[in-house]
Amino acid sequence: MRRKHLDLILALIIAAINGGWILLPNRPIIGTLLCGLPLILFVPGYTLTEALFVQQPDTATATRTGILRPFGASDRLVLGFGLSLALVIIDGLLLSILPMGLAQPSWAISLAILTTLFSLIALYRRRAISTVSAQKGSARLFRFTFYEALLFLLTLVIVLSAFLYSVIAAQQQQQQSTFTQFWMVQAKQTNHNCAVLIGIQSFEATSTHYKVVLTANGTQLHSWPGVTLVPKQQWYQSVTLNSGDIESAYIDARLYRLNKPGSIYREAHITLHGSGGSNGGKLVC
Amino acid sequence: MQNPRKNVSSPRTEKAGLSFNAIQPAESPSVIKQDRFIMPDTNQRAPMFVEQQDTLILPAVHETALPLVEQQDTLIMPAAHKPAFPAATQYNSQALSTEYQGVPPSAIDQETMTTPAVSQANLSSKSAPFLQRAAAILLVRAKEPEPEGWSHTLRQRALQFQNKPVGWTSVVLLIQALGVCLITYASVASLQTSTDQDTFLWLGFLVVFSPAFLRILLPIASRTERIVLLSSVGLCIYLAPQIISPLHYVFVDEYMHLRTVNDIISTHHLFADNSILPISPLYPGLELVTAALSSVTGLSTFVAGFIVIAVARIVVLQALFALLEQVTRSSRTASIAVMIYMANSGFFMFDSLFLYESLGMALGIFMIFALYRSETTEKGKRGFLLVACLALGALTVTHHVADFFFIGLLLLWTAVNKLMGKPLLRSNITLVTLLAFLLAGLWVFFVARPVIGYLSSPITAALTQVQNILTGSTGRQLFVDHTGTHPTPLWERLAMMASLGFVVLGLPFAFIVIWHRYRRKAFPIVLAIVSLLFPVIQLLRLTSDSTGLPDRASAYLFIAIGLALAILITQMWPVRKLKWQHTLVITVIVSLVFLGGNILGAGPSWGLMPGSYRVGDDGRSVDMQSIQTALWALEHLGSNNRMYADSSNALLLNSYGEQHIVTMQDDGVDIAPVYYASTYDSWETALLQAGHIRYLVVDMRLSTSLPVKGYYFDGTQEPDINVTVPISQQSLLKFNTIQNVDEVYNSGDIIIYDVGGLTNAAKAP
Repeated sequence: MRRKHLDLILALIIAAINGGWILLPNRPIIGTLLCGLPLILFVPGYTLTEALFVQQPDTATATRTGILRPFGASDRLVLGFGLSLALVIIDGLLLSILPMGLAQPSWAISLAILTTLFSLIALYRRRAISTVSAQKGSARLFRFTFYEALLFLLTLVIVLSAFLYSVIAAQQQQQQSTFTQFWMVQAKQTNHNCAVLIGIQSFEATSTHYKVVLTANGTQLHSWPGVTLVPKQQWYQSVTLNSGDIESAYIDARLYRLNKPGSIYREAHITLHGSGGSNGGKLVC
Repeated sequence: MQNPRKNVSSPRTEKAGLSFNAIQPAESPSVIKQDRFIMPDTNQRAPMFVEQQDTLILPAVHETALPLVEQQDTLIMPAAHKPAFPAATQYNSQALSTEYQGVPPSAIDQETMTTPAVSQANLSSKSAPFLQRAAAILLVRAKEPEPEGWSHTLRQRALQFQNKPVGWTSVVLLIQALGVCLITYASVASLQTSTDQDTFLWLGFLVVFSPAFLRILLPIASRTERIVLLSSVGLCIYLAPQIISPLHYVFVDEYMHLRTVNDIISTHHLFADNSILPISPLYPGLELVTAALSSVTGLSTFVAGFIVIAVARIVVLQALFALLEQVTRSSRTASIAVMIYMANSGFFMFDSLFLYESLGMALGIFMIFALYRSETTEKGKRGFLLVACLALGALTVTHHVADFFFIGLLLLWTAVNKLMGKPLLRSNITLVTLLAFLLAGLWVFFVARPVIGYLSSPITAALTQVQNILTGSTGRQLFVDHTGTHPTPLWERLAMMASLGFVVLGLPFAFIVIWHRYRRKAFPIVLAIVSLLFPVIQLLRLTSDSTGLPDRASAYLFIAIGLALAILITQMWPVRKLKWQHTLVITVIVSLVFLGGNILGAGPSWGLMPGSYRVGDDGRSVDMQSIQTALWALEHLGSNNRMYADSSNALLLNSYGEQHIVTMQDDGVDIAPVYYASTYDSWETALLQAGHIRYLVVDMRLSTSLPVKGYYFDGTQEPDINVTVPISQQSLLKFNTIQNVDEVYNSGDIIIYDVGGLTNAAKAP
């Protein structure tokens, strides 16, 4: 009994794990992948196929050798994949009109419910089918000798290695293009409109030393003479202007590299304006 | 021990196998498929049919005329044989008739026929002109009822391989892995040397395709082997674009769909605005599956999309194989058809990408497969009908063109059914056709109305251009790019033309063969009709149509072309007459069709292979700096700010940056002229205000060269189109000096200006 319905039992387990998975705060990535991939791409379609076609349709054709080609494993695979894609799309359309929307829990639960429902229907319809006929058709689809299996494995290793090599080569090429981001935006602070946020992110090839100079209306406000960043490291500072009875301030930030202190490497500037209202269009610091 | 097969006495002696030298009983009306059949001289009553013996020897004193002698491997007719030559002597591999005195009424399609001098003049087939004989052979072979019929030797070999369903698959797969290595070499060498090494790419394609096709062409290959080989070729070719660009998307449209996926994941609902491709959120099938996979597994949307399209690729190939196997009742013909389908110009590039058409095609073929099964199967009709309806529902919301194409196919299928006198009301095809119309109509009317304008404008433009070409007013220079500096290599031109030539040349013959072989079956006739559209669509290649209609249509038409050419091959070279020379020639020709078709769809090599940054060149314009700029914008400026940028940065800001890119298509304002002007004037402010622009993104690299694609900005009007000199540095730097314009971001090449002080456009909440 268990062996006869092993496929459906497995489908139910996958559905149950995915349904219960969402309750766990920290989910292991491998487990999520192993259960999530089939739930989206194969299991709903496969269980619906099993529910619909318990009796194998009589579409067999005979070859010259007399080998029958029943509605077997390969066709069930196609139906499983194709129907799963269709079901996920239709499920998504229905979920999108519900208040919960297309969030992770709603995907997992809805597909788990569908899988469970189809599996139960298939189990019910299968009750009269003998073990032999239920297993027929899939037994001899793939049977390898040791050497064939070895060649398959070798093929897989070669293809994966080739792909990984292309990824590594692309990453190396990407690292050759080096640059530094320098930016300044108005800081989001309640009751203030005279604060700015200055930032640097280095995408240089090696550790780089910078100097930052900040001026307001031509007067130097701050200077950071020794900012050292390793590749991909970020640096940022929030700076609030001194109180002053001014309507606007032209803030200019300049970035220098310490190995070329005489030339501006990057520059950013913004103009802060008073917001009007109770403070009479003045900057509030 | 006496052979039990000897002295068989039955009205029909067939498939006896092995050696058969016995006296043929007088009452047997048909003698079929013996290895060696010697007509006894005492036989007083001739069999009605004498066919498919490996060797047939007619005795000298045999008195009775034979009505039909066909498909013997060797027919030996002695000199003194008295009756007239059989009424029809055809398909025999060797017909030997030395010093034969009779006059054969017809002698068609012997591989070798030796006749005495006195008979030569009477052999119409020998004296007839070549074309006449070729036509006669075509017609005779077109009617061949069983082209897949095996010889006894083949049957014996098949029995040996019965326990080895995977056959030579493992060896072929290993060769294909070497093909993938060649593709990787081409990609990495291009990247490291900044020269286009596409020759190795195409060589890799041949190594992947040709051995598999050769194996599939052989009748001995098992069904399992065919299924595995089809999938392996499909997946290897699918891997190629991923190897060429493993870190980013290779084609601009993929970024547009990425935006829709990101919107679904972030908003948890459908139909969020996508300014660069407004139609994408209205057909969200692909994005739904990708969002579901990404949400449930935690995979990035990039990886999730890669997996979804890989599954779609498997469904396309296997559903097509299963469908055509049902149509032809032959796994060999079906697998040949699917291999030829892979020669469509969208197979390598367009339908391997993260685009809604890739999934739409899979759902469409899957729907037709289920529908055909529902028509032909005895049990499970309703089940297959339900499957077809579910697939149709998913197709309706996934891709407009795929949906409309398959509706057209259903309509034609219904019409052909009607012409053949089949009852329409009881047919599942009629039901599904009506449902398809209803669903598409409802979806377009209530959700996707912009699709009408979206599809009609490029078609109208293409037709206008065809009209211009026919009247001789305009045309397109083939095999050159916009800059005129990258001519297509000669061998690639030849491969493309040969591919088109073989397909166009083969289609009329294929149509004749299908007409003779399947004229009572509606679906093959439907596909034969559809395949004839291919030569007509190729006319559009002469236009400067930027949407690539011929390549886009090719993916659909090759469903029909694959079947048509596969039937042509299997009928013209039936299994019993297939020699290794034929196999080799067919493999070479189909490999050439495959290669040429995919070169045609891949576009010019300078746009295909990876390398350093290039201006205005889809994949080559996407680099780390542009991506990081987009990500910075999302983090520090928030999402959905109204921005404008050049085409490459616009894509990245739209997808990774989740910004609203102002476009002519969505907002009706063309901001590009602001970039071209060398000085800043009030009209530019007015333009920025009209577009409610908050941020302008300037990429200083635009001034370094002309755009390879021919334009810097997407969807613009003049002067961007047909630009002849690079945009000047002065034009790009002018924003630095304008009052109320803030320079908020600078990464060396890319600068973001906040022009809110000029336009009063608010930041997005």
